[in-house]
Amino acid sequence: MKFHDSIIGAMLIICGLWVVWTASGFPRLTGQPIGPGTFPVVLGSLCVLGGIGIGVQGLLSGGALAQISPHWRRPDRIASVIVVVAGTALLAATFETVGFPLGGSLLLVALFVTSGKRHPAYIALAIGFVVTVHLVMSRLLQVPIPAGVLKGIF
Amino acid sequence: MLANIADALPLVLTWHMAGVILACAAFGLFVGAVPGLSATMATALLVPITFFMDPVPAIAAIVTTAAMAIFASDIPAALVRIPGTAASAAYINDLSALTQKGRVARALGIAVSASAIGGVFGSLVLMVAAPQLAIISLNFTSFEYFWLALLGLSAAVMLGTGSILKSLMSLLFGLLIASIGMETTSGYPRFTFGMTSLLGGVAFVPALIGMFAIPELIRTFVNREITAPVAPVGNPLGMFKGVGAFLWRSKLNLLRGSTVGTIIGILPGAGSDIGSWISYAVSKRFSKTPEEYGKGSETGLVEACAANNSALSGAYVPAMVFGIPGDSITAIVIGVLYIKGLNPGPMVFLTSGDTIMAIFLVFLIANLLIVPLGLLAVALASQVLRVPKLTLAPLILAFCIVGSYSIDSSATGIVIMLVLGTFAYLMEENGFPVAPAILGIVMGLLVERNFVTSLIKADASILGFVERPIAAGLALLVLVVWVTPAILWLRQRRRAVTSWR
Repeated sequence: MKFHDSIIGAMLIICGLWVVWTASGFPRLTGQPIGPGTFPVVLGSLCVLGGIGIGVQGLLSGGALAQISPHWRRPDRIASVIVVVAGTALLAATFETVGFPLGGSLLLVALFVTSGKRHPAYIALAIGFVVTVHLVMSRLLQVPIPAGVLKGIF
Repeated sequence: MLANIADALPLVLTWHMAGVILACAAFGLFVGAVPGLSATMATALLVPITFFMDPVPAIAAIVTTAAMAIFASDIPAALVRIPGTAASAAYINDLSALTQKGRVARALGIAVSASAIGGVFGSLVLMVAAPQLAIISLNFTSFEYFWLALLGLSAAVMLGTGSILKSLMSLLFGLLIASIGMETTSGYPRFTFGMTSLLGGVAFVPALIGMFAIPELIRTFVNREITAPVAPVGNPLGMFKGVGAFLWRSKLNLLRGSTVGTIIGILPGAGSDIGSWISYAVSKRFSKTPEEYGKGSETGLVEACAANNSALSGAYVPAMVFGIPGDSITAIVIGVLYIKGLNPGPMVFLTSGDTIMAIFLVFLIANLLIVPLGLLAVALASQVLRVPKLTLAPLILAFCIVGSYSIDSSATGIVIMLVLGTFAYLMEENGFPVAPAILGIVMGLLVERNFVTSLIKADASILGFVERPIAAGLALLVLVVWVTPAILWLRQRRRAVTSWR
């Protein structure tokens, strides 16, 4: 998904201005002309300048405002990406309650299914892999990974 | 130095260390041999595990994995013409051409041997030069550190590929991410949006895992390319037939490749990718048969492969001495060193000389292990490469989730990984390199702390930044790095205008 440089430049300018405006409101150090906002103000200002540069380059070069690769027009591929992003976000939100063994297995199964790998072997691989990772991390390396609803089993 | 080596040997020569090194070597070889999985990603995935290890085994795990992954990336480059890491991209045409001529075993034999020699050379330089540089750097104050950090960041922007302006914006993005959370001098919360989970700042490891792994996963699911058929390797033991004599004839190329690689590795911000490209270019420039380059040149292969692994060792010099990462892998190592209480900088050579020397010894061992383990890897590679990337991708996502969560046992890590990873995908799609952003996240705190401290010392006067001789010299170097591309661009433009007329 490629955006035109003029759009990116405009976004950088807005972002830089927001950083400068927000950081300018930070208090200064006692008896000093500088404070916690000094460095972000410098960064924000550079961001605005860079945004202008990229925006101008974009305006001079022309072209379409956005380009979507042909791969992104395939529903099965979009479904996989949605599972990666939304599925992982959902897992993060419910990580403590649902737990990694169940949540992780469901996520992996959904990914295999959306990527066209629907043979039962892949479902077994997904569950087996998640359970193995969970056991290695929680038992062998003593990393507290939540078991969630399967707490009694793991 | 000898006393430190004697103290370090018991830390390295243990069964536990042997197990760690062998396991990580196998992991590194596996990741390096799978196209699309980078050495940086391998080391990033290791970080959560190293969290629960002692300092020397933790760093040994990363060092061994990185060295093996960098070498192993030559294997898919030769067999299926897909580089495992960017470092192999410089000479992929030669590897591929040699494979097409039926000389894949010899090509890989040369790659294994040159990588090991380059790595050992870089390790020896690291052992000798780093402690000496550390002594000199004891005189450094916040002014010198500020310029040095700026030099590292500038080199990362200028030496990278693609648009310099976009690299600079990527770096600024990383620095802005690093400024999230409580400011160190005043304790004032910045850009936290009222979220307590962001008060401690954006955790480095989830950011790193996300920015390297998530874009790769999205690309895998979206593009779903079919991997090219794997070329037959034949008997791996035949790999070294005649290679010794060839390497002896190419000893000057080996030396030049190793030296160029080490020097580029030492430059803050540059890494094995850049070392490999520049060494290949130098080799071609001084070759009597430059027309062979890209068509199966064994000489070019020797130099670039040696530069690959020597640059990896060289990158640890600025990392250990100044706390400035030479590349993204050393950026991870610096993070691990901080977690382990071994704050990189000149003092660490005085306070933990034996531990640092133990880490350097691991470098030597890892690079020597490339030869026997590389042989094994080549034998197994054709099997590993048959595993479709689409099958591996979901499993990698599971690793990423667990890795990001385990840093501070909080789901915030997973969210950071996902948000920054998705953003990194959009960045790369639009020509913004991710590496400068990573360097920005890693070095943001160092740059800001030294910038603010220096401003306070100098009463907010910019002149104070160039009053000390070393600081002025470093400032001049930064200026040179900034101005050179502009001069080169102007000269090219003038030449183009003249030829058009």
